[in-house]
Amino acid sequence: MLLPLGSAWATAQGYDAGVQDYEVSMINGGTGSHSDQRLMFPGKAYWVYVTAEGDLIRSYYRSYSFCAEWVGDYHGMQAPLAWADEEAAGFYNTLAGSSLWAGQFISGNDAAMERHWKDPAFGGVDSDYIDNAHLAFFVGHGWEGGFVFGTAADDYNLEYDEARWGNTKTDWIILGSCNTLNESTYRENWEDAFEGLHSICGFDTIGGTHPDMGSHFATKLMQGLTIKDAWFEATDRWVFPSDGNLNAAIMAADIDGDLSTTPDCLDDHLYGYGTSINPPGDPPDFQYKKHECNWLDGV
Amino acid sequence: MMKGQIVIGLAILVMIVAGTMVIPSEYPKGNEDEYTRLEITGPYLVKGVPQISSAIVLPERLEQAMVYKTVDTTVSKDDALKMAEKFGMSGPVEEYGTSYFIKGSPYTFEIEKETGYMTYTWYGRWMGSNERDRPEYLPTDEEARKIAGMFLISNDLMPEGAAYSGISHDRGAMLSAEGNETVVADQGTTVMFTGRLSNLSVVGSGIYVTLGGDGDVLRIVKRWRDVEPYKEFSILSPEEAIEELRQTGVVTEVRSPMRAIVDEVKLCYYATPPRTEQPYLKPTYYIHGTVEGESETGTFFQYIQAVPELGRGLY
Repeated sequence: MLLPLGSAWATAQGYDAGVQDYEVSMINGGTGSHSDQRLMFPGKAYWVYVTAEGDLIRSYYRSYSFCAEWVGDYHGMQAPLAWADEEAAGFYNTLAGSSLWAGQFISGNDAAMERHWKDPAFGGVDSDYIDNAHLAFFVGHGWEGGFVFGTAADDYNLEYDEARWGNTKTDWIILGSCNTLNESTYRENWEDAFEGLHSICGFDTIGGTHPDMGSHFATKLMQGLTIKDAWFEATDRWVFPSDGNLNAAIMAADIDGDLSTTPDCLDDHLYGYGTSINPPGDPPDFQYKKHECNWLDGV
Repeated sequence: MMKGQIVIGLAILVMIVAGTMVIPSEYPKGNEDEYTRLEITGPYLVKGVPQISSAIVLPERLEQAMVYKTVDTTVSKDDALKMAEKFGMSGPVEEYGTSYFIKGSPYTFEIEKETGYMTYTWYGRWMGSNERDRPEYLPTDEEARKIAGMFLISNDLMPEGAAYSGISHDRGAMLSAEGNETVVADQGTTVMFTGRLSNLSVVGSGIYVTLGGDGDVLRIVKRWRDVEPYKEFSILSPEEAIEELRQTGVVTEVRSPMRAIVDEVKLCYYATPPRTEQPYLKPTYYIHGTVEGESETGTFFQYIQAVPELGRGLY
């Protein structure tokens, strides 16, 4: 945002209205906590100290990027997944309506590929695909150890130990896939995937799809709900009755090892729609929440 | 000649090795015949089970049951304000997309214009990490049921025909009291009241109240289908419903299920999320049980639409 000022700015400091205090400053050319690569958010107040005259030009480019992939047709190897396309497209098209977020790509069925989600260290190309966007959304079959594609490129299963997300760009992953955030296995399976990633949304149990779930989720994000709240709202609103054991879940990086009091990635909002916190590449801990989708008791 | 045979042999060997290398290490196992044989009647992934038996005495057969026609619900801005007033909120009512809103402090009220789907939420505390909502501060289940019921009744929010149906618990990872150990604990108690028609539960249609520490209301959601009687139809017997499972398969996390044992059969109505096209609420059997796979056991469920005249689809 300050690029047009070049070397004419020295420091910039945000004000956190929530805690009524100034944030750590950004220093032109700074690194670490004072890095000038940190994000600035439209609608938020900053003091900017300048050393010379300059023109601050409003950017007309969308600042943040996202992508979506979905698989409904598994060519008989898995049962077809109803509404995967509508759910992903609903999310994509709704968020594309934001003036701040630009859709990079949406790929479905055989065009959605495991290599797009796999780190180059394991032969994948995620740095050119999903890890080259701030947020990636997937709808397809899953299990505790990963999620499933309809074509073998490079193979059918993206397994947790092939994922290293956030080492290029990705901050948030949404997995509309069964069991990917199972309460018993989420930490052991996915902690190494957090390489700058803030959080993963998914399901603790079997999951649900619905044509309107993706657009509802995007709408809630753009209304300023946290990613956690938006995910739980969307799943709660649109899942069909099951047997009372359908839980949506979120796993989020904790930045300081104190799970109970301080704001963490669990409280992230989408960029441009509220605050968020950058986690370290190797988070000291994680927070996990699961929400029972409550339309199932009563029989 | 011999040299040529060796070259061809080597070439075949290289092709075999190369072919083996491109076979994925964990190919998702499936049976195409199975997926095409099963009749998809609902929204969840189903699996066929070769052997199904019952471990219970099945409920008595009901010869006929009422089918209900769904009725569109529309909410005006005035309706929204009147509903919000029941929560002590007075406006202003804002519009955003398909909903009306009132943003208060600490609660936000929202109601959908075309369905009446309603939420009343204390964002920041609901599903949050507030000290006040640690497990030791939550009401007991019995207390929660009383608090939630009283709140809905005293504020004229209990839908007609809704009845208490169960309690669930949202869970989150927190620090243990001793220090750094991460523990998973309840962080919200949700009391559910489900709609009833013809003395049967309407699963998917109801109102719930989530309570936090000290019994504070953190969230109320109403997801409801308005209906009117259509006509009575003959319905399947419980035995016939179990027989139907062979055609529809079951919903289970168990891989390659081999044997299923039914432990619960109940008649109910099945309501999809409002705005999903569903012309009728049909009598439906809820069937639950245990399932054995090749190397694991678990549970299964399935809903079987009970009116043969209306096909097999749940909605």
